Amino acid sequence: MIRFCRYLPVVVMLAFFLMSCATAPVSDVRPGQTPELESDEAGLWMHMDKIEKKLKHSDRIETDADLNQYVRDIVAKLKPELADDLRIYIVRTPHFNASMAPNGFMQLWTGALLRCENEAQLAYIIGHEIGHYQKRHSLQQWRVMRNTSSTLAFVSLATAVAGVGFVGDVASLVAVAGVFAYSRDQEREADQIGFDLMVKAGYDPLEAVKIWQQMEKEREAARDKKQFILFATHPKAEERIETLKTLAQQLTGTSGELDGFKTPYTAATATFRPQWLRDELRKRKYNASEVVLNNLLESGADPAQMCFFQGELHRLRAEEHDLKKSVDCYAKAIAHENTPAVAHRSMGLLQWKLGQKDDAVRCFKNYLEAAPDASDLDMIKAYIDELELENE
Amino acid sequence: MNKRFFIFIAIILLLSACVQYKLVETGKPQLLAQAFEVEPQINWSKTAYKKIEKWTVDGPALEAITFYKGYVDGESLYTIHNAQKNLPVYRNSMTPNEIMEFFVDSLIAVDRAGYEWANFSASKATTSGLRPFKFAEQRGFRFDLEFSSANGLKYKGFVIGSVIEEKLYLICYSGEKQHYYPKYKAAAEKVVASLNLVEHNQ
Amino acid sequence: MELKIIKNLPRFFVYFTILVFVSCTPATYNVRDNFKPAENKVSKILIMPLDIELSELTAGGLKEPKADWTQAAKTHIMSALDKSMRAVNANIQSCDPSVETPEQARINQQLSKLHEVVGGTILIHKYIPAFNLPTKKDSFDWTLGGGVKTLKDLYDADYAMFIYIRDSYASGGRKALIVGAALLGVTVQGGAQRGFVSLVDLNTGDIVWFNRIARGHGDLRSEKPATETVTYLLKGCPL
Repeated sequence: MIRFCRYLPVVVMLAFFLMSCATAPVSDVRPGQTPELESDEAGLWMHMDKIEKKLKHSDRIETDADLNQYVRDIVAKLKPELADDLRIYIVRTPHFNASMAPNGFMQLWTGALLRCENEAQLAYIIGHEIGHYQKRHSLQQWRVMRNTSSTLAFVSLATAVAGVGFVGDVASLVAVAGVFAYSRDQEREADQIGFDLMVKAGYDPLEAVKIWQQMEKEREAARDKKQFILFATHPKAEERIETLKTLAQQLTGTSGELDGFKTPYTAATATFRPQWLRDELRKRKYNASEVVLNNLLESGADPAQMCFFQGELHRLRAEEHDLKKSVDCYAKAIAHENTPAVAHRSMGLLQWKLGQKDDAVRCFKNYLEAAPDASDLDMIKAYIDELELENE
Repeated sequence: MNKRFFIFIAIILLLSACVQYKLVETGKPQLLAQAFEVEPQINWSKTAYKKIEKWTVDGPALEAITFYKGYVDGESLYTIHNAQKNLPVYRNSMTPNEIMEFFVDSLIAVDRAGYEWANFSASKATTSGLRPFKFAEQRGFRFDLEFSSANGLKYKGFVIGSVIEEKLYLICYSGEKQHYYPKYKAAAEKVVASLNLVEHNQ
Repeated sequence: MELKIIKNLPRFFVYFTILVFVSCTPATYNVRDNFKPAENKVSKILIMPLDIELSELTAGGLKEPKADWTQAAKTHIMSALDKSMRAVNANIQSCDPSVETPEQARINQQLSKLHEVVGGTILIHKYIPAFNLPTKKDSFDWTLGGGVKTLKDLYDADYAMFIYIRDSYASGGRKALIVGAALLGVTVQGGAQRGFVSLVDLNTGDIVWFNRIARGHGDLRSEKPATETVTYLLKGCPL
């Protein structure tokens, strides 16, 4: 996908020169509308139906009923007339992204859910994707691609589309999310729609600005800036922030709740945070993840949990000062009554490494007390025996 | 397009030369990493690449024993060009808990990098039951593994491991959960039980 | 070694292409060791949902999926299968997902996925000599295992047939390109039929017959040539 995206700007630009004479304008999608069987759009839908089926049955979907209902409710709030035509899949992938397929299935990646602070921000993302659907941007893109006999278009698109072979390769599902990487103008249009929909539904539009600011912070912290290719490809975040700010200022007396409906958002997502944070750390982009964790902590996420994951981050990054920092973070986590049991274990393993054997034993015992059914019980007991034997 | 195509063919042919499967015969002891010997109780098809050796009967996507042979401090479990610098790294200071984490994180990282050799797709891999285990009469550990393939097919596995003379050895048996994992589990357990440390001659 | 390149290109496109160009397997089909169909009995074959897609190959080399062609192909394939199977004393039946409980649907989903993986394994390790497994050298005994029981109970069928086809046709522009390029001595690929079919014994889960198709001609869009494709596809079917 990264490979693919590298060519994309060229393809899209090239395509745009050819597009003006090649494609007729496409009208907005109507509720319940399905394409004529003979049309190119029907072929596209058929292909996407197949991909959707694969995605649906892959192991990457968050299937929790409440979480899915919560997201569907937001769609209904934003665009009730299209809600029945849209299907949302929450895809377990730790990147900030969402995508919309022409046949009406939307991918919402858990990396985006982790980063949203409140419902208003999520509503903006969903609204943006609804914009792509409503304007049938992918059909337009498809026609552009098809009419461009560029080799690049072939290399990118044909591989991405053909990639969904009979083995449901999720890597190609991810590629598909990038196939319809839209043009700059289409992104602007979707932004505008997302913004309008969120305002109409009563969300504070300034939250849309915040999410881009947050992404900017993350990008700045990252060592490898090229990694930020997804949702944030274009227009540039700075441009988006400016446009959205201007739009927000034009509105007088926004009706949105001041915290952007944070309480329901937290209620719906908090139980998934530990898994999503674990996925986030597995990206091994620690500097950027640090920004995510700090932001979560600032925005009021459970401090015991956040401190534990900060400790994990430092332990895994293992650069200068990280060892000490992780001890500090675990200590902070453990100071909270609701600390995750595994924080004791992590602390114990660190203390062991630091030669603090008594402390290590104490931590392991605390761990077993907090998690008497731990599946690594025997291993931890063996550690304790070993440490106590050494101490004698 | 044609250039690309020929590159594939070239790669496939090149690749096939080194992934060529060879027969591992029943009862014939096999040397692993110049350090261990195992005695198979059934016939296996074997292939190897760098420090990884795979044995399978019906196909690596259905079931396989994977031997990870002797990793030293600073090495990654898999070798991938682009993603190399971002793969988990083995450290001698690691405890079994951390080695288990290193193993699973490596699977997930190569899954994300789209690395075929791994033959796993481990986005939701879970581990359980970490416990002490005798590895060729040496102090070692064992844990269980569950994951899905990219298309959502469920797999099960177990991993045993040990650090001997500052080198990490892991053996993973895994297979499709319903049919293939149980089919060869006993045979895999026998391979593991036959594991023997070979005396160094030189 | 640059293993990554392979991943960047769709695996099965690569494998199929290799099949076409470097395969030295003489027969396209394999029959399970010692398989004998039950005699004097009308067997019932469950046709799993057809995994078929027809597309048009544009001048630029893009495969444009065609919904109308695909729908027509499905109809033609089903009617040709019906005829062929009747001739060998077998009846076909279609899957009806609406009769499956969620739990049955889940089990059947896993079974289809297992079939995908077993099918992929056969294509790679049986059809490409370089990847042959010594443990499978003289045998063809892959199976889906006991998980087929749910299907058997649901449909009371003896066999299940899985069909996967990707079929492409050169557009007018592409054809012109092929001719033009040929004048310059360059080969440009036209449309192609790729796919495989397998027959699974629902009593044992065993794959009793497996055939693959990889050729540069054939047409599924209209009835007569579609019958030819189905006949080609059913080559070696032991029923």
